Amino acid sequence: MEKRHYEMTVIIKPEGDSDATKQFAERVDGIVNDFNGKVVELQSWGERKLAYEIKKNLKGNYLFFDLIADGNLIAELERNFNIWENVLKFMSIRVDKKEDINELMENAKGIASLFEKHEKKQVVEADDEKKETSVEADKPAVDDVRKYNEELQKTLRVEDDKEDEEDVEL
Amino acid sequence: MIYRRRKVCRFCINKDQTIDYKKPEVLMNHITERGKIIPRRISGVCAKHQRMLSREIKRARTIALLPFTVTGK
Repeated sequence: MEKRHYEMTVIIKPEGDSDATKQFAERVDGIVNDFNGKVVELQSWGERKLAYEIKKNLKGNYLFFDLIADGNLIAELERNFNIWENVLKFMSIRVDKKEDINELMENAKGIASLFEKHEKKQVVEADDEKKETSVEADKPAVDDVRKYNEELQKTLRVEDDKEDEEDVEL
Repeated sequence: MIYRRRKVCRFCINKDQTIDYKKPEVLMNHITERGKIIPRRISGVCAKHQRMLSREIKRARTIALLPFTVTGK
């Protein structure tokens, strides 16, 4: 089967510490390797509030896999996710990026990239002070967005009141 | 009805504003308080970007980054 580029987002139960995350990543990596796929990058988005309840959970631990895989591998992963109890929900998406898949294969960082990220985060925190100056320069743009949103919400409130009435010509 | 100036698509003006399900903060501006997708006749987004928006909002909904619906509990 032809290799393609996929993005896979998995929400796992939040109770586990970083060890659980690591274990999970290794388990997935095992399957990926069995099918000659490759993890290009692995990101942890950390614990996030869910927009709606999933299996009685209000919070979830997000893991994001950037994969080179074929259809068989994706099917196998999804089959496993359905069985594993700590998986709340997942979504796989085929990306039609222009980058060459072979190139991505070569530059694949594997699941180790997850732990790289943690180190990077600390560096970013140290850099925060420097960034503040540039943030100020961006302020007008932020204000613009806020103004835009306020205006939008105002129109919307009117719209929501009308709810099911047919389109109103503006 | 008050006359409204035709708004220009914000994604056409700001080219580095990407529409991506991984960035719910951007998509958040295009759903109502109840979670419905804002029609482009109101937001002024162009057809091309509205298509991208609707696709990415729906993706973000499946992984609980955005709500399907917000009801006052």
